[in-house]
Amino acid sequence: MSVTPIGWQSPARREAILALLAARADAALAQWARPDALTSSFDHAKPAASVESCWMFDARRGAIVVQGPENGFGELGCRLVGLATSDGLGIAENLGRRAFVDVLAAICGVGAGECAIVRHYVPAAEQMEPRRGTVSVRWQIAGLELTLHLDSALCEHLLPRIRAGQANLIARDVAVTTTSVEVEAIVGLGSIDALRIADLKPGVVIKTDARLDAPVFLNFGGADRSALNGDLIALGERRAFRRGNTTSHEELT
Amino acid sequence: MKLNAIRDVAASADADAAGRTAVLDDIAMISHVRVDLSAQIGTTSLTIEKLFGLKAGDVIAMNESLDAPVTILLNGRAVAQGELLAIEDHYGIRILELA
Repeated sequence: MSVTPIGWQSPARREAILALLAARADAALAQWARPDALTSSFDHAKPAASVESCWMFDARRGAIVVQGPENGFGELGCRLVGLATSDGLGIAENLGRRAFVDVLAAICGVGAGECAIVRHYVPAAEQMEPRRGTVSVRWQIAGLELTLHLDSALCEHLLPRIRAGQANLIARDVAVTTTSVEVEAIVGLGSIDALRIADLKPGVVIKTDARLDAPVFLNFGGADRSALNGDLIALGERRAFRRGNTTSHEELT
Repeated sequence: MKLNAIRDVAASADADAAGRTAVLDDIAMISHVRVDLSAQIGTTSLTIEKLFGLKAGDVIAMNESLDAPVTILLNGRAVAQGELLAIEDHYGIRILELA
């Protein structure tokens, strides 16, 4: 079961990732060619009308789906060594592939040996969906145009989010114990014949079965949850409940 | 009575008030039934931590003033407002207002 979060990268994050890719690509390409010999630029990709070929670059901490021309590696290799056309022996293609992996690994911030590339890859549609956190960029390198779809894991690795909410988290037990509950103090007055109910009217006085030292129960959470018992006292101008000796564990019903 | 009569009256939504009166008129039928009586003498709001941290002798002030009426409950349901009395060594109540 594949579980991926639903969430878009914000415009600010997309811009930051784009800038990071450009900077890392330039630094990596400098290892392969003079800066003026191999130009590179990134911008935001639009949906590709047609795709000749697709690769998947697995960078361990995330993946990039790469779309481009079928002979992309060969073309890159030719540009690196200054050939007008491919040598036909696969030398330019191998060189291009190696450079490509090296630069992408540098972009991802991992070693080239940690990466794997899958040719003729058939991506699932959701791998290129922005709502899955994918960032799609167009990479123009020495006249070669590639579309890179960076998955959300790689974007997180490149640009970790600052989770502002973390500082405000509180422990679960604190969340529970600081919750307020409505409590009511109830004194049980025994029982009354149903017959006498009909006689109740304003002014009627009823002597109950309950003695004056009958416990007062502090109920909470609705109806009949007795939490504590105690007695009724006066506290200044208000009634008050004074906790008795019985433990709450014994009283809970 | 007329138990059927009670049922007939109770079945009619339009005659709901009349139904209650009929039940009280014929309450002799259920005179042996005893109903729990209690009084709500105060309410307040507490955190769970404070509620379960109460020790013997701790005092919690209620919202209600000393002379505020208490709520009379029959089987846990409020039916009247009243005044809490001491009749000899027992609690008593004086009915002030009925539903």
